[in-house]
Amino acid sequence: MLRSRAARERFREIGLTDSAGVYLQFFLASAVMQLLFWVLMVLRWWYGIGDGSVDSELAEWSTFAMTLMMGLGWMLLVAFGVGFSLWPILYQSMTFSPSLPKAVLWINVGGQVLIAVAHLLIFSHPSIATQMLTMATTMICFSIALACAPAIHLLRQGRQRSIEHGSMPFLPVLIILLIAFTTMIVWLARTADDDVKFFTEGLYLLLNIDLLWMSVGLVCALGHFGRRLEWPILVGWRAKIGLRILILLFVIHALAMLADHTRWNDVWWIQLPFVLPLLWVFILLGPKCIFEIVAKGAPHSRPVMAAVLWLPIIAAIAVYEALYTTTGLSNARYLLVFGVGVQALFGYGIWYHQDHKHEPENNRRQPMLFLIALNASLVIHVVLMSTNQLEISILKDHNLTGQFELITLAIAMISWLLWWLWELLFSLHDWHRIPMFYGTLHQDDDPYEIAEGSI
Amino acid sequence: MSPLFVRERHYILCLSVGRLMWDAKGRLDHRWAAGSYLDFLLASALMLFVFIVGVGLMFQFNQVWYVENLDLMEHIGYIIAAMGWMAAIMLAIGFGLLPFVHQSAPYDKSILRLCIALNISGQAFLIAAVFTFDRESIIAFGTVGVTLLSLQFIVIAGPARQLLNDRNRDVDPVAGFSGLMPLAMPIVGVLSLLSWLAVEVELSRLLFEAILIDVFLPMVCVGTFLGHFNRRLEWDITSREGAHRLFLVMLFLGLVHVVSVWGAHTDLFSVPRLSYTLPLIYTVAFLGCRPDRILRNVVAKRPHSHLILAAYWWIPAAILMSVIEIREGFDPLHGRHIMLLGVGTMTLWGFAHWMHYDHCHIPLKERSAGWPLLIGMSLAIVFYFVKGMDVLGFMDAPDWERKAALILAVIAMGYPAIWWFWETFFHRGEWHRIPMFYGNLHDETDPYELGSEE
Repeated sequence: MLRSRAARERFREIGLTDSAGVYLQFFLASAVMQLLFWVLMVLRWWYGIGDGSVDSELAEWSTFAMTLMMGLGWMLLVAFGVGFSLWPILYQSMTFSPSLPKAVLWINVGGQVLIAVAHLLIFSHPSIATQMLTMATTMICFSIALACAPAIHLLRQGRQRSIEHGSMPFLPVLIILLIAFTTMIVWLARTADDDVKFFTEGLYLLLNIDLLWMSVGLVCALGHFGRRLEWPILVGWRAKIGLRILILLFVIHALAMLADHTRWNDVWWIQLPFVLPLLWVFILLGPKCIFEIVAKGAPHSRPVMAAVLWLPIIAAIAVYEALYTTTGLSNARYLLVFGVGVQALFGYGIWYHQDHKHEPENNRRQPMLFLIALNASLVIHVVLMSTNQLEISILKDHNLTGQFELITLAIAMISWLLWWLWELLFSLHDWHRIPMFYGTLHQDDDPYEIAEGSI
Repeated sequence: MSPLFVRERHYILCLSVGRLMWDAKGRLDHRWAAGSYLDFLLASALMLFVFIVGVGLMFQFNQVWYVENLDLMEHIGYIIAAMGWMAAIMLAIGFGLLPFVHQSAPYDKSILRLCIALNISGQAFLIAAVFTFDRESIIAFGTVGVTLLSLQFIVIAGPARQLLNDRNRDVDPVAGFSGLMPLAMPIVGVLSLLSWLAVEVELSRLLFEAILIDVFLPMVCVGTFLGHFNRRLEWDITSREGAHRLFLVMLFLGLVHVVSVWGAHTDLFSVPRLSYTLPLIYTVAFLGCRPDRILRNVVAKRPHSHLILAAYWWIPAAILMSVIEIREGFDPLHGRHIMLLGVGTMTLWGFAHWMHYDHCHIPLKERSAGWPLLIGMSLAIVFYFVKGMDVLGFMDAPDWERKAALILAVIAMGYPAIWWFWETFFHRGEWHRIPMFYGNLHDETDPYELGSEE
């Protein structure tokens, strides 16, 4: 009791909980923008954008904008919500003012809304729609670059030394900064010749999907199992050199991607390095330790656990795609984004919210509908891919199966929206400014060194 | 390192731990953002320098292309000037002084830094766009730049609304002009985005230029004149009610002007006399600030900013030039340029000079006048005026005059940049967080009402 009161006083004194509830705005915005995203997807399908109803170039730009709205829009809003709420508490330093999260949120949401408006004008005023997409890209890129500023400030203060896993949580932040610049370049170079476009496309895939979602998955899983649940998953030599090896593997993958996309080298294994960082992320998470503890029935977030389980499956699919197909790693990347990135992020977000409600770990409600629907959709995707590639027809009607995949994905995403609406509008739980566990994270267990003195 | 620089860094450091933002009773202290103008002016000086170098290089490399695409280039030039380095000075004044005037600072340092970042990056994109020398690329890069510059105005909408609610309506001698910048800036930001969406449509460009350069900028200049002469120097050139009436008249004329531009261009209606709304706005701006009273105080040798005074007295040149151009059936291009670059630049930098000297607590009589900017810009206006007459066929000006006007304008506009770099990095004087005069603006002269008892 005394300990938690002391923590409250200390937090109030430094103002560390000033931004504690900001994640609620981010999560709600993410849920609403996600709904808008799916409405747009339906409209795109309805009007046949991509099937020749508009100029093919414009359709390509529209697809790019939609991936932007998803990857750097409503998905990243969840990450920013957690980041802005957690950073001050975690690193014991307030490196931003209250208006920064608001600015990031509104500029990002503004960009997403502009993408939606641009799609309404895509038939009647294509040139205005293109201009709007440029504005939207600018806003989204600027918003994510802004969000990195406090994290970089923390790094400069050397705060990464104050917590477990050191600089690893900063990995996505630094990648996001690169993404902001690269995405802008990719968009501005969209009318360039084929070689430049092919190169920028490679950069985009490398940063916006591979590096970003691998690192987000890693940080969420590590933060959940390693820090929050205090499971000893990253210890020993892996803790010491884990990050360095990961960066090295990222670099190898990046070089291979760039070699491929500059048409400098086209050897059969050029896409295989994608698997290396993915498997290393899996190894870093200490799967043996996680499975042992989970088998004992320890409480944990199931979406985060499911995300970890997808890692080796995606690696296997990537190997198959790299060696036996000519379509690139599109399926592996799709699974990486939804199976690992989104699942881990949303699972982490929900657990964090439950920490603010001070719910006992054993009694926490799991987002089962989200979990089942999303994973069902991903499994259907894998089955469809396999039947297409192996030319076997286990499921005779592929169209129906494809629709079923989309419907389950939509159910998963809508369940996320409904979950948040319920939590924000109808939840009768108490909400605490200082989340469970984090309030006492930095407190000395033996502040007066009584144990030492007694020896 | 310069004491000013150290002091300013110290101020930012204090902000970072939040010590200056709250007073002893835990209330938000409106004085916390007092030194924020230093960063804005540095950004303005830096980008002004880049702008000048950019314009010079563009003339040097590809003048023919510039002339062929004059419509777009001119539009971008207006945006860089009015929403770029000039806007940085406006924001410096807004963030630096309005908290003292209204005793409220409803924003935090993130907004300040955000505005500076947006301002610099927006201008950089627009300048880079120009150097692609390809219309399509200019529009693509320009869209990024305009979006960033617009965002700097849009993000202040929330704090601006709060500031307007908190303002001291009864005591401010600048009346409606004081609320103009916070109120109009977000609107201008949204309009610039909308206008740029159809930048290839001439009407869209003309309407936005009418709003930004013909209406918004003169109103900012008048607000600055009143802020200097009426509030800071307490010359009482006009009453608060008079200033408010002036604001409403200018706003009404501005609306009429925008409608007339729209009507004339779409051929829906065309009343030739409505074209004179532009010189009329300038005339109202000039007369509304009571030239007789300003002159009386100047003759009485009361200290003032020479730059602001010179800018004020150049308004008649802009009026005259616009009237002649409209009479001859031309767009009032030269008149507008005199107003934007001559009057606007001198007014805003003059105010910035004075505000900085207030922070340095330099006695009024010992303040430097900014002669290089004043003389250079005045000569440039003279040459530019002559060149305008030459274009209209009233005079036969030699070719060197155009170059002379350009060189003088470059020298004059380069001066604020150099001056400000000098002040930031090499200034040796004292710098005070609470500026002279504004610190006790709201202090009662007779707090114990001794006078009334007598």
